[in-house]
Amino acid sequence: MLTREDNELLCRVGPGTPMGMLGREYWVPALRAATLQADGAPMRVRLFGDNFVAFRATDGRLGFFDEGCPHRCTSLALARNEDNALTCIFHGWKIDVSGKVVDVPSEPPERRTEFAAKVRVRHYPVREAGGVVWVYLGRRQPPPRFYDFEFNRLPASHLMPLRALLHCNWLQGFEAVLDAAHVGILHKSWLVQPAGKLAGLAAVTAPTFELLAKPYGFREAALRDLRDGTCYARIREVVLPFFSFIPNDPPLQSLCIAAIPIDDEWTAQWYFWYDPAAPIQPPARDWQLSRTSGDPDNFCSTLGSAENNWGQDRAKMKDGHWSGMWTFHYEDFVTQLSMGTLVDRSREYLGSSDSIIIRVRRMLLEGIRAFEAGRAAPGFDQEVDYRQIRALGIRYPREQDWRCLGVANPPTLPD
Amino acid sequence: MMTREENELMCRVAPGTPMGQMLREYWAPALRSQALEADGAPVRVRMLGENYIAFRASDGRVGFFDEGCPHRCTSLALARNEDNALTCIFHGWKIDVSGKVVEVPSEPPERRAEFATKVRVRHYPVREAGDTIWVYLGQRETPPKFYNFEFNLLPSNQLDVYRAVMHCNWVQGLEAVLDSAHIGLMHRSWLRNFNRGNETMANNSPIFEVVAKPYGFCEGALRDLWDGTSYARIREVVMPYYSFIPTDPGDPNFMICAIPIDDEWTAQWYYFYDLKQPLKGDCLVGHSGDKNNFCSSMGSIDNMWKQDRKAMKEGHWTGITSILQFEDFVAEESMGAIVDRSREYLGSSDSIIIRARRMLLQAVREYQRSGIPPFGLLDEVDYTKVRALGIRFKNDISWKQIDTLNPPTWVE
Repeated sequence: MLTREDNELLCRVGPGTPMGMLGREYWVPALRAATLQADGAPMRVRLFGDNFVAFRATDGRLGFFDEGCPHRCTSLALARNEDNALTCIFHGWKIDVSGKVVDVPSEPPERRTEFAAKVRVRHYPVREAGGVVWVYLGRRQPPPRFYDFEFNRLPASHLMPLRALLHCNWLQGFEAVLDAAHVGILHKSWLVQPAGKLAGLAAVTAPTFELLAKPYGFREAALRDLRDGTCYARIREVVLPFFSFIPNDPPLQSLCIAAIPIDDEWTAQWYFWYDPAAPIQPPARDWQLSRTSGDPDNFCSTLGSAENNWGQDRAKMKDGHWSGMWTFHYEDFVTQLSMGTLVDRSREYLGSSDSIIIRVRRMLLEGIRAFEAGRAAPGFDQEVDYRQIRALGIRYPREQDWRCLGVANPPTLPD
Repeated sequence: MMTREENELMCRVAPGTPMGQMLREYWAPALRSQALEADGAPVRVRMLGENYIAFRASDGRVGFFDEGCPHRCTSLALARNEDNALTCIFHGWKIDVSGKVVEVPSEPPERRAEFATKVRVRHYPVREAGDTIWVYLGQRETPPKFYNFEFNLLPSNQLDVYRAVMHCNWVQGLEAVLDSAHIGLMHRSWLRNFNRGNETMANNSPIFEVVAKPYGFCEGALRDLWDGTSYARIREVVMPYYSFIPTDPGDPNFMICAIPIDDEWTAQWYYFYDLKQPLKGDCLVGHSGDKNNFCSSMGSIDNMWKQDRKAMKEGHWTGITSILQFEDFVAEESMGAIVDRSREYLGSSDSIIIRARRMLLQAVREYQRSGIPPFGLLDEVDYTKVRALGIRFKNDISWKQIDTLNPPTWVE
């Protein structure tokens, strides 16, 4: 439970809001790299309640500007993209991919050069990694170090980034990912019942949570005692304020989920599927997409809305299906969306399984207040090696401490 | 560039806003005459953030009321239209075309006559001219003098009138029309195809000069041409809405206005008219086919207004290939429903826009203070003299000496 004031503080991300200012301090994924073609149509991007345009120049470089032309705000999504520049169709103002105005044909010829030099285009640093175009919308110069997450260092063949556009506030997206307690309940009809020694895992619906603070956020373990006397830990890494690395059992790929604010009421939920060791083969890609709408830029486009109850199938529920939802991912999305576009957290009633969510809210609130007071945003006060961050689902001897399990070289137990 | 506060003051037009109050003082086009048939369906009209109903009575007169029935606000767009009156389908209240309640069958018979006399229907003065129903939404008992524009005096066959419903604030509509600099830049592919506008395209940064008028201003966009002559596009702007646009010799005359539907929607009107003879066919082609909303086929930001990137690669400048006017509309709409003018960077080609904004702001502030409507509304202005002209002329005279009704003839 939060006060309304704290809830507003955490959720509102528009220009000038405290959370919006904090969120803009971080590199964030903006759109899939494959959506931009050299000299192709510029793409509109909305983040933190502001509109931008992204494009790929003739030579492959990326440009990321405010959407409106600096002259009179006509959308640069309509602009011509050629000659390593965008040219506004309205008065022909030309802005090169670096953000410099290079032509203003509506001004008298003798004044053009001087005039152009004075016009400032708000443009933003971008990076292409992990199959995604990343952008830094903050004010720091130079921008903070780029996230060299494991998946950001892999070739495209090992990657499968997917994005879902959700009609809810970003924190609902983020909290859904933090909440490990729902997995065995909400998704019960989709979970393959574990065999052998892991049998009974799904039966433990109330795991114990333990948390280890990190400079970038925390490591968290959902711990379950199994019937054979061993322990099972699902170890997650959370890089505040946006990224969660989710433990997955083979044959699923590794997964990082990020909830990126589009505006107060819309969220881009990114699923970075990746295999650190091998290319993701076409059958695995097809299988992954088959559980979605099939559109990698909005893989929940067939989700429906409150008006049709998100297509919930009551007949299927009577026949034994738990949620009546079409796919696993949609179960998560539907619960987030059904709270309303910006849930009033003063009306909640939280229990012990919500401890991680409570903690994250507290961390975020502290982070916002510290940042407002002029101190460093979370994760920026010391050097972090993001390459080491990896999630893990592991069975281990009960006498061991999960905190001592190395995620890079985990112990193996006999079945 | 302006402050956010100034921008809000200039753009917002809903009831009770300063600009909304001021604009209600002016006669404005509401709908095309042909949209109304005697005893036909009443038509909903939204203007300045309020909803109205227009209908043509049995005898051809036009009624213009608040949309909601005075009884319980059921839409009179649903009403029966017969016997020179609207009759609400809900309880049968009948309002004649003059706005008088003549029947209230839901009341006891003995009380009806007295009851009916007490019910007030908000109805508004209308004029039918220029193939258009005009309305006065202000509070004056005697409305201001009606605009005797040249086109308002012509018979229907010398007129071709179009309306477009655009998703943007009215000032964006007005500014697009005031901006002469974009013509040779944005419309280049169309002008090239028509083999028109050579004078405009020869020089993309014209000099602008303005002569103040009681009703607004007269503006010359001046271009020096290749042969040492000058080309002047002389435009007349009757504030707050009307721009008379120069056309090429032999083409029909042309007037555009942007009328606020509400804060985020605008009716953009195009008047083509020939002063001497009937028009031969439609003046616009390539639009939706509906003259009451000729841009309904334009698309929206969701499909990037059907911009054709392939055509752009093949040489079309904008990729808006259906009709030239959609290029203007798309540029306006793409700024967002109400553009934030604190984020602009204006140059010398925007001097007319800057001037018009200043005039609007001054006017609305003065109106708030004094209550007297600006732009010569209460003056004796002869609007038949307002005419635009595009003309090449020798540099030995000033464009200001040119009488647009009797221009000098000059042979190359």
